[in-house]
Amino acid sequence: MPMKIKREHGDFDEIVFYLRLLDLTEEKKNLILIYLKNFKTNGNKMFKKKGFGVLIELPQKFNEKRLILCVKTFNVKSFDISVSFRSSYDHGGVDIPKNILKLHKKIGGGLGFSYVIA
Amino acid sequence: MGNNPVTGTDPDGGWVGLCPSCLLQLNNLINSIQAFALSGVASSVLSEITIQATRTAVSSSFLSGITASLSGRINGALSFANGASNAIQSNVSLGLIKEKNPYKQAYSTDFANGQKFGRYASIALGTAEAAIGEIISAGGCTISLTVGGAVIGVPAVGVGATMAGHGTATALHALQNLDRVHHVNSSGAKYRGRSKSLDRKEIEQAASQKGIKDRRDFGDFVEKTKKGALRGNSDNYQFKELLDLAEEFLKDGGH
Repeated sequence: MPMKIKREHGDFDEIVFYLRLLDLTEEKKNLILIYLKNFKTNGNKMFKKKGFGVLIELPQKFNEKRLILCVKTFNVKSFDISVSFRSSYDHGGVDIPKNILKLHKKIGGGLGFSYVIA
Repeated sequence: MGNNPVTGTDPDGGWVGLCPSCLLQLNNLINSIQAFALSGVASSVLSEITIQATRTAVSSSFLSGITASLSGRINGALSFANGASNAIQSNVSLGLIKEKNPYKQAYSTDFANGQKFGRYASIALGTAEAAIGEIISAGGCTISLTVGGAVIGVPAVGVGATMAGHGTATALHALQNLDRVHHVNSSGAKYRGRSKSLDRKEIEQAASQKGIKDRRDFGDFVEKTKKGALRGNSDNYQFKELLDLAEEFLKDGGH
């Protein structure tokens, strides 16, 4: 479920945090999807690349230990946290929740933003 | 699963079910079973069926792809020609006929490219017209001087001067149009024209072209598709791709 920030005219800004595991083999992707069955996941071929990737939606409360263990056990070398921001307003801001920051501090990797104003 | 009563630790991060190392071992076992099974006779029969099915699928998709591609190219070429004609008309009329908004055309990118081509063509036409006008002017002077026929010479000078003037104005108008579009697209800081806002509101433009009313839903759909396709955060969609997504959105029941 996306995190919602209430705005003035009855709208919401919606924010979804994802952990993206990239450059995986198909086999590893399938195993990760089984391993993280308690999370909302999506495995797919990578855009313009040969490998596969897994997109893990991070809920407001989650067990970061399992994600850290997943990254280490499956020896995932390329991963990042992606923040998806959707708003009807042409201005706004985002606070990154503590558990996401904690996860990022522990596993490292990139941090990217993607937004839609519509 | 849970804490180990002996060591008091949580070895698999609270995992309920198989641990990652067990999964890896299980996967290896499945692979070896598959390899054994695939070495049998059944596998060759299965592969033959798969090959036939693939051939059928490939041939049908190939044909439909060619048809769609041809129709798209023809429409794109027509739109390019319309764009070029529109830009030339606008420049020759010195702005009396206004340039159309490319994003309101069916093939907006082709139309915009056509307009760009038309602006360059207008500069060439204007320059040629100015040069011919100068020659006629000069000829007019010569005629009036040598023959002394002011009746012939003066109109020639007048026509020549008008042509030269209009040619120069056309070329300048086209140059101004090119300059405006270039500045708006490259920096956006100096000019705050019409094209700037259109360039930046691609989702709205795509939704309006395809008759989508709920822009917010369409925006959500674009973002979800981007994430689902594992595109990078900065791998943004081009306008043509957004139009395709709009069609997909409508097919999925969006409105």
